[in-house]
Amino acid sequence: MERKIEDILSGESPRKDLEKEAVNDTRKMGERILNILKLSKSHRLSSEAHVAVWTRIEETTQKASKRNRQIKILRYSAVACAVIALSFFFWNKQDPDISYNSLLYNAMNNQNLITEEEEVSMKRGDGQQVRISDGQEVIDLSSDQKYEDERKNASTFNTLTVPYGKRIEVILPDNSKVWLNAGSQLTFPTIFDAAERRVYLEGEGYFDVEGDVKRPFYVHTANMMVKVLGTTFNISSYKDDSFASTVLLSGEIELQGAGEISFEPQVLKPGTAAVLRKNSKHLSISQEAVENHISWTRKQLILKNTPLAEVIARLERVYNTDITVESTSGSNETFSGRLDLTQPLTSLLTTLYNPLEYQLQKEERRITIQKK
Amino acid sequence: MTNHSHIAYWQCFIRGDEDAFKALYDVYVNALFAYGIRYCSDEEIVKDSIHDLFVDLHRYRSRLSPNVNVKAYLFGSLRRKVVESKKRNISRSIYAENYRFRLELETEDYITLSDDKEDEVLTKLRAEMEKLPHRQKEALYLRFTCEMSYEQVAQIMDISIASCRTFIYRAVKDLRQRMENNKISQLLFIAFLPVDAEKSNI
Repeated sequence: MERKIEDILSGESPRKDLEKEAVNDTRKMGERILNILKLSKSHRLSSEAHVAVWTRIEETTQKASKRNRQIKILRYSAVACAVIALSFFFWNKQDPDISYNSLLYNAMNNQNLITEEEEVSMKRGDGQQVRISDGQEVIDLSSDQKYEDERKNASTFNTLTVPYGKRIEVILPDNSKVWLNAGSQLTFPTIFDAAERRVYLEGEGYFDVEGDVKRPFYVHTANMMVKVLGTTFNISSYKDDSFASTVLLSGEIELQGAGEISFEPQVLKPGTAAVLRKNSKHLSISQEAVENHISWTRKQLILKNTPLAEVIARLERVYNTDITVESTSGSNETFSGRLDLTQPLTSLLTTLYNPLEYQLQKEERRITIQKK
Repeated sequence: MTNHSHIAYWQCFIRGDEDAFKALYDVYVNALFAYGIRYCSDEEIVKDSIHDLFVDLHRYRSRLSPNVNVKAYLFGSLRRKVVESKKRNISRSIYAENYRFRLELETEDYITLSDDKEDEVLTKLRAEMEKLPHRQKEALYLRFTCEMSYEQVAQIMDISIASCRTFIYRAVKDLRQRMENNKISQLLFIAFLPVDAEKSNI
């Protein structure tokens, strides 16, 4: 017997059950209801209200604990302690908005480097530009945090640029690891703040974040913000892609809109992917074969019904080569399978374009594909 | 949703960790506010209730259980606080109504559909959803917007899991029937269109 929509939605796992339904009116109705509820306008506290309510909570709780202490004989010393503790607290507290703004400012100022640079390079906080030689696969900055005390007041930023055709792994000062894909850039403070860790990503990165309950890790991108508490996940946010995606492999992350995009904060569960379509500004969350998204870290590209145009765009970035297809036939085709990115580009292209039907022409960093 | 990391904050907080207290606030304040505002459109009352909730947590922390469903506990506590302060305010005003829940379904401006017809259906559906009984709406919100389990929803609304499920079932059934009736009245409307419109179809 056919299940009614109320049977499905009142069940234990409505989303999964809905996906099992054939595409019919029942399923459509269910999806509409879920989407409406999921995407309803978020009412967030303004950042001023966020701070104001907290300040009030703090005042009230401190008054209460002060009262308790006054009962004891330690009255005056306690008050003195509280004053010292308070001033120490405010002294050390950095406004999160200010630190985010300077991060953003630094990230925006260096984005031209992605196309200008030939090699992986890092612009350091002191203005020095360090080039990373071709053979080096890992940049280790984990020892940087040790100098924290000496440079506490100077909040400067490093910008790591990975041009097209390159890839790099970096160990951040807090021991978190990031694999940066071709055509990407990561901006991060030379020393992480004591209360939080914030980085800005343009392009694609796979993060393995060192867990630290007291110092949440934020990844900012043009369209999304991810709050992390110690997990592994992949973010893809290329300017020239029509989508931005976040895929969670383990742990837990919270996703928020950024810039023009806003939506109710989403908590992702392991094994789910959130994809934002930039033109419709529509966010969809689904269970996906997450390994497809991180295969690039193992120098592979896993395709699953991936449109040809997307495959080509990915290959262009990985091999830093312009690929021009002078034939519109097959542009609607999708591909599934695994591409080995250690292979030369021309041999990969012949698996996509049958050499009996197509002719490949290579000159410098440009490949033209023509129908014979 | 069980959040291991958040239960870690909770337990640290109970042991006296002030940073964990702040972390709990940061993690939940927006969700709590979004929930509270659906109960009571007065922002100040909601903010006051959040303040009272966290002050109480801090004051009675030694009595709190280290193993709770943090989110459900906080939502449930806020719900009580909002209802209390609404009652206090209502006794002074003429309004007798003290339980209202608005779904506030208007989407963000960024979600625009290219398909006008689908847009129309969604607008209609949204309007019908807002007309549902308040408790059904609250159950829908907690279950689907906040993605909570029946257990959590039941704890927050202080009802049994079975009645929780019934709320969802009735709400969706009602929606389906209203939307179907809607379609039928539209079809009838087409049937009564002038004759020449029909001719052009032949």
